[in-house]
Amino acid sequence: MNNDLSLHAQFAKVWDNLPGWGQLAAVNHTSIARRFMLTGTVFFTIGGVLGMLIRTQLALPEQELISPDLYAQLFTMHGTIMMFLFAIPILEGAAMYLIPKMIGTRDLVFPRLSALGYYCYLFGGIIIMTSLLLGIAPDSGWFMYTPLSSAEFSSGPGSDFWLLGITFVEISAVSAGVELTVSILRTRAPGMSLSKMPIFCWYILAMALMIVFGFPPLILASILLELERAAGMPFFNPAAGGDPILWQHLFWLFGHPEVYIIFLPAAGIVSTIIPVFSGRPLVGYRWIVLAIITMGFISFGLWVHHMFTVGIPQLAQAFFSIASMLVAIPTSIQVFVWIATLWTGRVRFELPMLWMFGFLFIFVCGGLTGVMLALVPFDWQVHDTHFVVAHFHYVLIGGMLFPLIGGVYYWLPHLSGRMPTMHMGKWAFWLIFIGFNATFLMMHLTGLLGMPRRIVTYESGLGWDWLNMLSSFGSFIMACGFGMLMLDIILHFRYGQKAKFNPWQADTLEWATGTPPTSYNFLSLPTVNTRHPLWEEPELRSTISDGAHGLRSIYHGRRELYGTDAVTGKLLEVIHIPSHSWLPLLSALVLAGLCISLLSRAYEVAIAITVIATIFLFRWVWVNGAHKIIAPVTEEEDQRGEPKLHSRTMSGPGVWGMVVTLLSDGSLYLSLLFGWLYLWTVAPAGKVPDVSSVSISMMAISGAFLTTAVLLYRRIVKRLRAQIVQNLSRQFSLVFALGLLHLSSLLYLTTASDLSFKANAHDAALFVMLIFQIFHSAIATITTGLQVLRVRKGYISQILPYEPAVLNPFWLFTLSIFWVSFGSFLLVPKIW
Amino acid sequence: MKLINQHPWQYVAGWVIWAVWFVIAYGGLSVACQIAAPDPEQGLINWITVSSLTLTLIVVGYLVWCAVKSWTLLRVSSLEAKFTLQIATAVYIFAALGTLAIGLSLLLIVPCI
Repeated sequence: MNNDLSLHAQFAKVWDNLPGWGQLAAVNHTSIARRFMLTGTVFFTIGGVLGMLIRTQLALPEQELISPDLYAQLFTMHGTIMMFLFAIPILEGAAMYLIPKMIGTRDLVFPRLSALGYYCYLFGGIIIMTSLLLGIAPDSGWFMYTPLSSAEFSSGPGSDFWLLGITFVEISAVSAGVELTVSILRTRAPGMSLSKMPIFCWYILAMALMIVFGFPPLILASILLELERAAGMPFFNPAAGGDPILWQHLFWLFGHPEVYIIFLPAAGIVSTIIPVFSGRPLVGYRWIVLAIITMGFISFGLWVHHMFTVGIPQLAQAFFSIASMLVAIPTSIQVFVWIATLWTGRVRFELPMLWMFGFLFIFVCGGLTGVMLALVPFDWQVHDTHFVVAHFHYVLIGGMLFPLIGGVYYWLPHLSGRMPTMHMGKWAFWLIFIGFNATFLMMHLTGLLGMPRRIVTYESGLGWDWLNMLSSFGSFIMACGFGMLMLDIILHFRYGQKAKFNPWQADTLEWATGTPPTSYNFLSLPTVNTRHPLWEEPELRSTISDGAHGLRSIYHGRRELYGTDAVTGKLLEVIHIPSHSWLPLLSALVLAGLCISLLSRAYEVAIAITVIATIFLFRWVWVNGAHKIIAPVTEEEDQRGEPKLHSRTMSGPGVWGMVVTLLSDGSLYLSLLFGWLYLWTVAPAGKVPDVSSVSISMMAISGAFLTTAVLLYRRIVKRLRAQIVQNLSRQFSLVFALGLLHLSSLLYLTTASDLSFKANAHDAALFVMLIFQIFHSAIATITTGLQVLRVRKGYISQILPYEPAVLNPFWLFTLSIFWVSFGSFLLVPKIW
Repeated sequence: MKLINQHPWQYVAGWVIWAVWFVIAYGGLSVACQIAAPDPEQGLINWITVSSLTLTLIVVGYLVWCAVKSWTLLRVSSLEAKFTLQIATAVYIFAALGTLAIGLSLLLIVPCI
């Protein structure tokens, strides 16, 4: 490192992205988050244009501007884009941008995962959009109900585009969920205990965990439906023991929490902005934390309220009706906290606050119609009418978009270093606010008058004409507002006034990074003992920048963060994270190729691409820990007065990342188990074959190999913890050999079994379970094989015990699902 | 180890118990109605209602007990632990009320119709 360079220049050299095309290899959270937000805005614009086309078609009765087929594609894609390609990714982008800065660290904890997530999102989005350009877009509605989306009624590739494209995009969402959870829990500034954490981080922690648990049911449902369409496995075909209602359960198990996944970060923005412009701390921080936790849980118990009309028993409907009303309580707690904060503060009416008031008005209205819809008899009356469309636009636009735009204006000086303009911003607000209410307030009335959703046109004289005209007129006013908003934001980058330090007098640490921020956020990492660091220690900005705090050395060339205790914020270790890498882009490209080959039913190509993808992903795993590119063992690391590097411990972020990923994996597995149980017990023609096609004794033998492998692996980890490392390579080799025996016996029994997976939904579910098990067993075995090589290379040793500690939970998970599957899929039906 | 302590698990324990109860109540109801649906003529006094209500009352009682324990521990805890236990106590109370509110529908509606 050149000694003449200033400390800031030395940090920039290590942390900045590569120039030119090298930007594509960027993994830095600020760069990736900006890309998420920019791409989300592009998709929002496309989704908005589709919405305008819908409103143009509905402006007058009996119009024929758009054909019914195209109309079905338009409303399906409008919903799909807004929910999957705009709302979730843009909020994830905002969270990825803000979280490290708010918790006083330099980056997210798995930067390559951030980059992979972005590219999966981008390529998945492009694949879905391509279907629209080709005129073969999905047309079964954004929730893709079976049997409408099944091969019989949607024989074209539209549903396949949706199922494969959305699953691809969801890889991005789940990876962001894992990334954000571990980052918030393990990389907060020293001293920042959970009770001192900015309230926004609580919201994002809840959102991230909800993604981790909530997305897998839809991933599973998409896999099952694609298997039905492509391979004829009848999961949703009642004639073969399947059930179309299973799709609805799996979809809404994801779909309802998703509403709160979208709402929570937006509410986090509100809870951040209102105290700043009220000039006082948030009233009732604990109440908000309680409301967030409560909302996170209850939102998983409401999914059936989307299915009140499918013929569910009354008592079950009552359960979900009451649960749906209960969720109004944590929501109301938050609204009262915001009002109390405004009431007791000295409010400044800056531009972001306009959006906060717009949010409060619209969201409360949407919440009230939500309580109305929770009442079963009322829901029956307005089900599938424009009333429901109006309700969820009030909740989603009011509850998510208004706070998001307020947040954009609030953090705009942070992004660009320039202030927004009040004049154009006000115009944009009022156009959107008036246009929005004109559009969607009318839809409540058309809905109550009986206008169904998704109809391409309607007869005149039903009392809907003027309401639809006004609604369409309002949508054009709203579109003008969005046009003005975008123009305002674009112009501000050129003409906005230069922002001074902490222009809104905020309390949180992100404003100490400088505006716009450097690639490393903080030159030195401060200790934080308060919820309001910039209010109580305004000098932090200069002391951080002067290098007065921790982890200020960079001569080693590593990107480093502090790792702290998840609860107390006590300093534990130094986390080293990877620098720029082409692997995320290459892996995502290969996965996109896999997606396209599956779409075109070129299965030989898909197999070849899967092999390439596996090589890339294992290469990714290889370049880790003490690898020479990442953090080889050096003498300097013990002599600089900082804690140990995490790869020299057994509790680094990788262990946490593995556990959180397995929570998601477990949610997928439980969804499969639920699906199988549902088909067995509830599906009209569901039954288990009298004789199992899978050899139970062979399965038990395979399980015995697996159990021995796991016990041995745990012993290795235990001995490593006790610093005993004799015959490490031989022991890993033994686990690898046992894993191979288990895997080969499992493969044999799967291929030798006589499963009628095209004729019987139960056998199809059993087949998916076996593939799921094989997938996990293969990963555990191959990775252990790699660990044999890594021991020989010196990447695992007495001083480098980290990697076995990371893989250990995966082996345990593999073992657990094996025996649970054995018991439930094979033994219980035999005993029953 | 004490059941109620200062571990961060306490932040969510109440709602996890509620979630398990909810899954058992809803899932159990669906399966029970498939296997041995009671005669609607029996009204509210039938094996599904009685067993579901018993389970509900046990869960509510347990959640209330957890809330009391958590509140008791709160008074002798450090500042950081106090935060955890305050949230935990409220979560147990909310979860108990949530369980009771949903469970009370058992007193009003005959199952399996």
